[in-house]
Amino acid sequence: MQPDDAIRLDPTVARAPSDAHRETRPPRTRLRFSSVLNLLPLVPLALFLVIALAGPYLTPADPEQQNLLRRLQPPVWAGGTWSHPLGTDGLGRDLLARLAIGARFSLFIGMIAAINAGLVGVLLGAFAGLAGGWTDRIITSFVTVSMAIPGIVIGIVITATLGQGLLNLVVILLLGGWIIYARIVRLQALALRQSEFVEAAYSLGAGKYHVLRRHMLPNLAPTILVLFAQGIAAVMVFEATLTYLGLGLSIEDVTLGSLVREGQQVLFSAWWAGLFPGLMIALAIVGFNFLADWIQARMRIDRISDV
Amino acid sequence: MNNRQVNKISRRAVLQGSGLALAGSIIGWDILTTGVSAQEMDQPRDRIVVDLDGDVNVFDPAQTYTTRGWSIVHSIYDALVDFGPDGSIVPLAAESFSTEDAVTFDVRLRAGMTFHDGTPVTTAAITRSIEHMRVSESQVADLIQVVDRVDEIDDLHARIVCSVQAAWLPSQLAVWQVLLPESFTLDSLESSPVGSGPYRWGTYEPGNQIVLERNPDYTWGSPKGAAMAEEVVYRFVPESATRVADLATGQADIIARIPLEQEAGIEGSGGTVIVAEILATAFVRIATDVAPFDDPLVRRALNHAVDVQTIATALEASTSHRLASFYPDERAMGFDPELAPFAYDPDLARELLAEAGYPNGFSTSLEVSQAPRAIYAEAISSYLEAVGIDVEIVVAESGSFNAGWGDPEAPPLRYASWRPMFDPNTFLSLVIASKGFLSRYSNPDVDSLITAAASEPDTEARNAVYQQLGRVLQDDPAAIYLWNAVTRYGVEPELSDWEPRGDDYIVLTDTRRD
Repeated sequence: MQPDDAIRLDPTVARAPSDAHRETRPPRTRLRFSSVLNLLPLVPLALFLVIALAGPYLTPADPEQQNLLRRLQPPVWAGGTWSHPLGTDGLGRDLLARLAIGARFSLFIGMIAAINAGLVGVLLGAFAGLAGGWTDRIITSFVTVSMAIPGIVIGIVITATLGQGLLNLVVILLLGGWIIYARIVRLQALALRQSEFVEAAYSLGAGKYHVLRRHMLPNLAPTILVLFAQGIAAVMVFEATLTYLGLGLSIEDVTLGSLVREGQQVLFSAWWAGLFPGLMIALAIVGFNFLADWIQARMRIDRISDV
Repeated sequence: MNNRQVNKISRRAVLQGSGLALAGSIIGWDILTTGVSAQEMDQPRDRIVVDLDGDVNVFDPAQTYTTRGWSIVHSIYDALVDFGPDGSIVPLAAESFSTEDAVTFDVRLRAGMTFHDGTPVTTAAITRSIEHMRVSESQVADLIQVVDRVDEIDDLHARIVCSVQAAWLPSQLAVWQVLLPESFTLDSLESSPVGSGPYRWGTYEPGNQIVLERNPDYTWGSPKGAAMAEEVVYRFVPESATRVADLATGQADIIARIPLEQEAGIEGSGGTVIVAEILATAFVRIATDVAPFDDPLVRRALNHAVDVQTIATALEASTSHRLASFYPDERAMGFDPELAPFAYDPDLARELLAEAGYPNGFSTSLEVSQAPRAIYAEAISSYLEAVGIDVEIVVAESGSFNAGWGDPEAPPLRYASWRPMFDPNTFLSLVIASKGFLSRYSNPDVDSLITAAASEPDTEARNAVYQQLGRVLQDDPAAIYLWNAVTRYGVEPELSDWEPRGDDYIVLTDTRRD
């Protein structure tokens, strides 16, 4: 995401989270899932989560059980059988079961990496925006330098020196993912720093830590939530890219990226082996980005109601 | 060699036919009915593009260890002898190559051969090439140390004299000993090699491609045959699916190393699949210098644990069969049809593991050189895990994989294949003998048999020694013996009658074309 794409804080949102304000907020019942249409953007994510989390209930097949005599079986509607609804892979393993376990693992990695990247990026961005001066310049310079290093290069360097593994992959994803949080949160924090309630807090003798904890972060929460939703999608794509290139996890770890890599090897003879993992990645990206948009839309509705 | 070719009327052929028909209606029937004369058919094509499965990197013949590299080396150079399709040694640059005692080899060169720089090929080239092998940093330089001297009797007649009996020497010479001109230097071997072979050096773009040009003076009736094209482009395309796409879109005319599951893709796009039963052996090398693999019971358990035949049929080829030891088939010296392979018996494997003190199995790692081959490792590890052996698969870049053969820190198991195996001496000396450069196996009986076979001049007696060695290697396994590997090519329809070599080198010559 470029700076121009950053979610800009509406001045009407930059409010102190005072109890009085909460008391004056009108009832929100009319905003709670009042329309089915409001939920449509969440369908892709729901579908992804159903496959990822309810996989074992969708198929009894063991994702690791190979059957070489039934390798590359097509999906049920293309001549396959119901015992393997989405077909089998190059070693005769059930593709639906592997999609479920791969989606779950990719989601887990995406969540872990996005949380870590978010923590690092939000703290650095908020601190830079709040502190200003040399602290801001140093952190901003660090962000700028980090932006100049492609994530793939970081992945190659870490994999070549430390090897493959979950921890190393999360570190790679963290190093490539924190920057966007830091940049946007810093901009938001800069805007908040000028706001009246922050100045009022300072004038009443509040310290920077207090202002950060009680005024800045609560006001940044909606933005961080949106960024987090987008961040999960971005991290999942990055993870899939790294794993596809052999820079992520061991070959035995099943993720959506590794399934795409395996499927690509047989693309001309077994399209399903690569297509369905690719569709799952697409579902995740669309789903999490729609979720981010949905949260944003909710924020706007809140603002309208506040007005 | 048994080539299976799949021919069908393809979309490409239909399109070509349609185009031809349209051209016929425009240009006139006379031209079409004139056709292409037999003489024109014999003319080399302008260009053939070959997709290899990786870069070549090294062009020094002494330091070439891959079939990709040998494809280039044996296109540019000629060796004294070559492998025939049945694995026999046939004269190439040598008109005759004979020995009475496996100590002195009498060589008579063919007359009229010239290097690409115009200088004549003489017996001095033999001396130069052997000397280059001896002083090079080649991994097989030790093997060539057996050559004591080369006596140049005249320009076309020489004797290669060994210090001991070396009946295996011709099979080494066929691979590594190529004729070098007087002008060669270590630099020129890498930057602009000059040989006497059917193709001349063209250009090389690292990581991308190498171009060779036809040698117009290669007209002395070489058993290798004549060049098939004015220009051959070897492109480096590691991904098999990309190679298939190149063939389908006409960007490549021949694609190498195609997995079984890509056959349908080739056929579907109008290409022809050629399966060549090269003489290659696939195995999982077991390092016996670390526990628990120092116990033969464990190694036998591993062999019983894996359903090799099912994997071979499913992933390699329907013609592949489980091997009793390293020898692929009857064309390989030492192959013993009476020696039965290990039976797939997971219960027996568990019993052997328990007897060895591992009733609950153990953890280990299995190394494989390239991601496309990881599917074999995954299939094998799945069977090992079924008997309690937890296997971590390590995919290594091919350079580090090759450097790790003798590394005691490397994973104890490694999936590999070796080709050609016409004469097993090289493989056994390097990979199995306890002092072998690539070995992590030690058995004094095996060492004695390898030495005995190497110095045995009588072919039948050598064969018997290697057969005995095969039986010893079953009792004290050095590997999980897998299957006879095949190589699978995809070719465009006009090259469907192309006959690959038995040694898997892609040297684009045709013995049917003079």
